[in-house]
Amino acid sequence: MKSIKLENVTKKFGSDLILNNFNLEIPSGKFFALLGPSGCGKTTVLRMIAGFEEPDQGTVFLGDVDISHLPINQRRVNTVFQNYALFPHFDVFDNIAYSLRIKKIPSIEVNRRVEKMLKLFGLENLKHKSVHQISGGQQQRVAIARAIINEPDVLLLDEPLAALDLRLRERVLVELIELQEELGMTFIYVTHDQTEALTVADQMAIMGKDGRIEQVGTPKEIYEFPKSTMVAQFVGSTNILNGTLELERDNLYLRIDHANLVLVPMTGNWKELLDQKKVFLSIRPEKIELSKTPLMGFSNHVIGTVSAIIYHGRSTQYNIALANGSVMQVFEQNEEHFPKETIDYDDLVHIYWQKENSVLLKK
Amino acid sequence: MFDELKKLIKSESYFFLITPAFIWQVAFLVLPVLFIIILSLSSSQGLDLVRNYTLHNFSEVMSMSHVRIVMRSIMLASCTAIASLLLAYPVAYFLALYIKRYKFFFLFLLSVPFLINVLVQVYAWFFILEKNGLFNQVLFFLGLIKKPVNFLNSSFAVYLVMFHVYLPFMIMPLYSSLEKIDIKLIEASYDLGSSFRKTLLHIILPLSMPGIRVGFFLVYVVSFGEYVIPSLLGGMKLFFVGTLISEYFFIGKDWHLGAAFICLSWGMLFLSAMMYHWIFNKIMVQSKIIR
Amino acid sequence: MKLKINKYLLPLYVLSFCLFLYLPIMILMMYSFNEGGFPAEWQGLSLRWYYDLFESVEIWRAFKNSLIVAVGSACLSLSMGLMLVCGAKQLKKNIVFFFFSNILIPDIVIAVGMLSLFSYFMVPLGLITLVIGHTLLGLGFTIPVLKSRLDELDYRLVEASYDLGASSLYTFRYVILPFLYPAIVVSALMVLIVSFDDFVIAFFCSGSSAQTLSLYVFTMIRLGISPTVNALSTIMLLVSSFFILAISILQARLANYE
Repeated sequence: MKSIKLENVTKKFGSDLILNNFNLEIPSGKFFALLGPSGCGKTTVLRMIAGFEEPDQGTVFLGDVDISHLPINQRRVNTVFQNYALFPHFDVFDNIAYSLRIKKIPSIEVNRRVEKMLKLFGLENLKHKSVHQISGGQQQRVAIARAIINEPDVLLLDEPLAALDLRLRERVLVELIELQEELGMTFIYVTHDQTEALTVADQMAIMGKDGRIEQVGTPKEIYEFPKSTMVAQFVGSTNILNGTLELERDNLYLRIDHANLVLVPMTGNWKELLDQKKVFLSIRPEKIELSKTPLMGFSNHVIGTVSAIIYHGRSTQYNIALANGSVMQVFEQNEEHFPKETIDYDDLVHIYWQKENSVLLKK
Repeated sequence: MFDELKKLIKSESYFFLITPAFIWQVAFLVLPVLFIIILSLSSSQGLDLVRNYTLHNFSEVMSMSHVRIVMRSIMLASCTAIASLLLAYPVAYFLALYIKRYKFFFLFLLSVPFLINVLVQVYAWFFILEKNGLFNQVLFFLGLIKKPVNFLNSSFAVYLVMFHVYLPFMIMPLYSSLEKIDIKLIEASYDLGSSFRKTLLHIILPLSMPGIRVGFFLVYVVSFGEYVIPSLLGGMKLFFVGTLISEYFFIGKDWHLGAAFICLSWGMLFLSAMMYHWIFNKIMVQSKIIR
Repeated sequence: MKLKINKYLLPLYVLSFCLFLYLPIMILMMYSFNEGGFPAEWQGLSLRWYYDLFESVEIWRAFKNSLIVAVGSACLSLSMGLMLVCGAKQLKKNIVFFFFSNILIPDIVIAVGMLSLFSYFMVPLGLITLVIGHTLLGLGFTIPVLKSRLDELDYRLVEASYDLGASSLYTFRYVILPFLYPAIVVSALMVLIVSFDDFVIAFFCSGSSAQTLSLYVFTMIRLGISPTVNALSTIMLLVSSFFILAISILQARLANYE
């Protein structure tokens, strides 16, 4: 299995600068997700790895080899396309066998390997069906089988779940994880859906709208310790407060306005942020406690009124309007059928969080 | 070095692909047309245009008798185009917007006459138009005539058969343009209270304009140069553009005059087409179909 | 949208329209089975003229010539058209418009032009010049049909093929060509029909040696009616209809392909 590295890659389409001195390292043998909003250039990155585009400047490495200008069909990189791109005039068997037949592998061997693949994906009964006759989920499995049968170094997946319905998506995500673990192949998964990325990835990277990598890390690192407000807001929901930092004795505070002061953790690069005119604080809604009666033991405490209640099944989201006009979101898990405290619109509530559960951000 | 050569061939290979068709086109379409123009500008002394060109052919060809023949063809083409437009439109409407099932069957039915050999069609009309043919028998039976009339070798025959042969030409463009109309637009029109007549006039007709134009000009331009029908049904005395060209090139053997006549005719055709184009636009603006 | 008042007006009109279109042909076919032929009265059903047809040497010769020309021009225009369309796609240039004039320029102008050109260069007129002319017409059919079909090809299928390791040639043979098959057949049939039906170009460009079917019919009409021509016309009609049926079915299948 090989790793992928993009080094100082620049790519333009006409007058649009899509990637500018772009750098990314993707480790070998891992399930890697590239997450970003639509139009950020993540598909371009994928296409450059596959060979459909070539960098104007910079290099693309497969392992140690420079593949920047290698033709598509010579790269040991295969793609699972968003709409599967199954050959309509071939049946399921022929689609999967395609890459083997190109190499003129004898048909006994081809049959053996295709049968193995069919078995792996549970497609034996569909062997001779035309691609129109099978369901979306089955088509996707054929597309994946077709792409991995000739054992490429890297498998690229371009928003593979876009055409499937919700129920199917969850199941397919799990199947993909199991498949990658079993094969040990480098998977690169491109998507704009953060739930998918968080679910499948061993490692992930977030791309911003300007075509830059905002952060690289494990899903947990990215979710719990985002490095920018963009990442914090793109992956999951969050509350962003801003203000200036004040150091008083051994405690670090964020001054939001003349009336409000909030305790923040002294982690990371807080010393550099002291002089900043504006710093940001991210607090995830699930990390906030909500109560009609006062509670003890929390570093931060704010009072507000309930302005919205949104039921999500597993949890309920409360929008709390604060005195200074801003609104904070709070998620409470619906642990009990009959909660002790019923919270209603316009109720006066206390919200609490620990300073360790918030993250200081520069931008 | 061999690799470089291979690379060059590969990138240039796409040019090689398009050359055969291009060469064919230039050699057998562009060149002949140019040749005709050259012919028209030269006389029997030779084809060396630089020293020896002449406008004599054109002056001879722009005589009243020639112009009359061109006008006759323009008249024929116009009538054919207009008549087939008016009569084919309801059929195209029927095909596109009226029937839901059996479209395939009707399309097939209406395409067959389109691709039947013109000669066969003309030959078939002989049976109807000649002295003992169907027309005469019916008219006699209805008591409208006492003696058999020879309908062949007349303007009537030419007009009738032209109309018959070019009718299918008109249906296809009209049908394809009507078919493209989003049915929801028509439904919306009815939904808002419009009658069939108004919907036809204000929605369907304007939206099918592209098809109408294509069909009209297709039939007009192609029927102008028609040779077979005037030649077989017009008789020896009635000349149209097509038959006169054949006279020049086969019988008269004065190719220079013939070439000049071709240039004249198609020049006049072009002008008349421009005029029709202008008329079309005028109509559409007048009825506020386009602003 | 059905009218409430004159519900039967439109269908009736279309019916009479079809009758008008088919009337001459029906009569022709009827008389081809007539014992007495034309212009005599109906003398009973007979296949006599069809037997005469099969025994006529000239007609077979004309048919053979027409066939050679038709197949020849179909092959030539198909192969050149295919090459052009694929090459143009790769070069991303829109040259197809250049070939639209093949159908728009009246065949008489093409015929006369080619005649003058051939005469000037002393090229002998015959079957070959006919093939040249029909191929030219054929290009006007094959190129638009092939191009519009090629445009419908989802380019991602081509990308997938390359991605899986196929060369350009392999991709062309196993992905692009199968996709084009319906268009290839349709345009081939169209060229065959156009070539068989063509009269004007044959009239001007075949000289005295090559007789095609259309020319034969023309001569017969000029000279006087022989009832065998009725039989011939009927057969030509049926064959044309068969071809058109094939084209229609294929085009219907083209539409349902995805």
